[in-house]
Amino acid sequence: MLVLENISKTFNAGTPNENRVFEGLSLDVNEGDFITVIGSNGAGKSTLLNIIAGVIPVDGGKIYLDGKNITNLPEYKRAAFIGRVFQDPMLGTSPSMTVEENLSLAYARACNLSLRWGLTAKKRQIFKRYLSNISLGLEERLAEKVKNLSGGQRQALTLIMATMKKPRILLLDEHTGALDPKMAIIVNDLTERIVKEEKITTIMVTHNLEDAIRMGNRLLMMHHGKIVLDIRGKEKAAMTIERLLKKFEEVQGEKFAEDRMMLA
Amino acid sequence: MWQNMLLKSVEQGLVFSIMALGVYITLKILNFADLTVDGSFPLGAAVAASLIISGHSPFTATITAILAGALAGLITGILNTGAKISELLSGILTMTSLYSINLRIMGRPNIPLLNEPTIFTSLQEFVKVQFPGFPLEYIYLVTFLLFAGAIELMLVLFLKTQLGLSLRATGDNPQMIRSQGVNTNVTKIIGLCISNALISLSGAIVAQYQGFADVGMGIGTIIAGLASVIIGDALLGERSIITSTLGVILGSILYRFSISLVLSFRLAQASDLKLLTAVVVVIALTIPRFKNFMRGSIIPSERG
Repeated sequence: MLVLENISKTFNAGTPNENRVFEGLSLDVNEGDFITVIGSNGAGKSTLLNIIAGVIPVDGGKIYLDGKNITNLPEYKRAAFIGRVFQDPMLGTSPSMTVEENLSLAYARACNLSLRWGLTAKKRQIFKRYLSNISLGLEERLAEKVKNLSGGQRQALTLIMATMKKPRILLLDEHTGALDPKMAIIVNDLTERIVKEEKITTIMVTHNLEDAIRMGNRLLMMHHGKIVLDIRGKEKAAMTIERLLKKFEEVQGEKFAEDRMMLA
Repeated sequence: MWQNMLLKSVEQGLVFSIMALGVYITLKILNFADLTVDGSFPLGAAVAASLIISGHSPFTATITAILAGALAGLITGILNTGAKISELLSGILTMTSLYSINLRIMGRPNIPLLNEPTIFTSLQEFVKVQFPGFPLEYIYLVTFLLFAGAIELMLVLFLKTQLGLSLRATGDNPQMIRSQGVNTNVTKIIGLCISNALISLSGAIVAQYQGFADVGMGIGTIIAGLASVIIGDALLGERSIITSTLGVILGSILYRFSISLVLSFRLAQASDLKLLTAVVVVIALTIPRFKNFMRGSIIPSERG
């Protein structure tokens, strides 16, 4: 359903800081895939998501979604069918607005420029139902400003906002990376539940090898702007951290190294 | 004399609060430092005065002034979002060109309106007929109170619509609202249009209230608007849209009052007005820091 064809991207082209991230990267995402993406520092994981979301324009290559060429579609237009959660809990919500106001913006995704009331009794009911699903007590705090929530609560809220109006594809960029371990587990469980229940095609970048192996049906390992491993199905189900690292060494001829990578 | 001074400063505070609400939209809602203000305020006065002396109804003149202000905001918005010129410079460019445009509109630097029909002459006649006992010296006060109240109410209601929420999110977290499918260039331009329309409206009313339009009447408007917003913030805080817009109106009244107070003590002369304004803003901005400083020196910090 999502096809990346021959993508190339260079940052700071023609300067001493030139950084060639992608040269002819291709990826074919199938309907219903839950892909986890791991990789060393600077492998291009976040750039990949930013290119799909339209935050960063590509230098060459094409992006197709459901057969439609979206390569030149601006970010705000792609938002109609792409849901995103960022690593930084500050990025996904509007801090000085209330929980219900934030939800209202997500509920009206891609048709926000209307003069209809942002909040109605009916919408509040719907929001309460969504929030009571995640059992963080947020359904009692609809009128609370989001800046008063914890990082984990904000990420859970962002996740709801990204999936409330079912997106064609959900992009998660290390969305539990800035959370404490306990909260990370809660948000990960919530992610799995929503993705499964709503059958949302998902790409999740993570720095946690265990999560990458445990979650999803397909695992990509990136290295220097290339997809060096693409593991799916039974092979994915039988994967362990040792096997994964060994496989990486076989393919790449070097040891896997990532400062922040959590092995367990 | 005291009573008169109080009345005058409340009147002025209310009529300029419409301008201050415009500044509030860009500064607080959109987080956009818009300097178009110093041009769009006299633009409203120029358009209204020119139309009135050429025989148009004062109501047509005032509504045209609102549209002219929105147009000025649109130009600043296009310069910023389309031509990618910085916020400050976009506003300065529009403001500077408006000086020449205002002179063109008026055809001369000053238009007196003393014997012309204004919205107030029509209003006075209406009140004389409908409410014969009404004390006419309060007619401005009541009119401005209704005006400022109505505009505040409309603004509060607008900010509760889906579009209004998008505008607030644009100022608060543009990345987030883009990922919800909103083109932040559009929301910015809409906010700038509404803001400058209000500022221009305020200019049009002020011209009819004081009885003239002058090409130089815009100088320092942004600082007065800023002072009102900051004083309002210090008074009522940012609990909700209603309290903060109410704060802006109160801030505007308090600002006018403190200025006339200083002038009435003959501590300063009328030409010192802009300097006084700047001092008021500096004081309002530094009071919170000063409070923290005092608190810090009384209660020793944990490090000792």
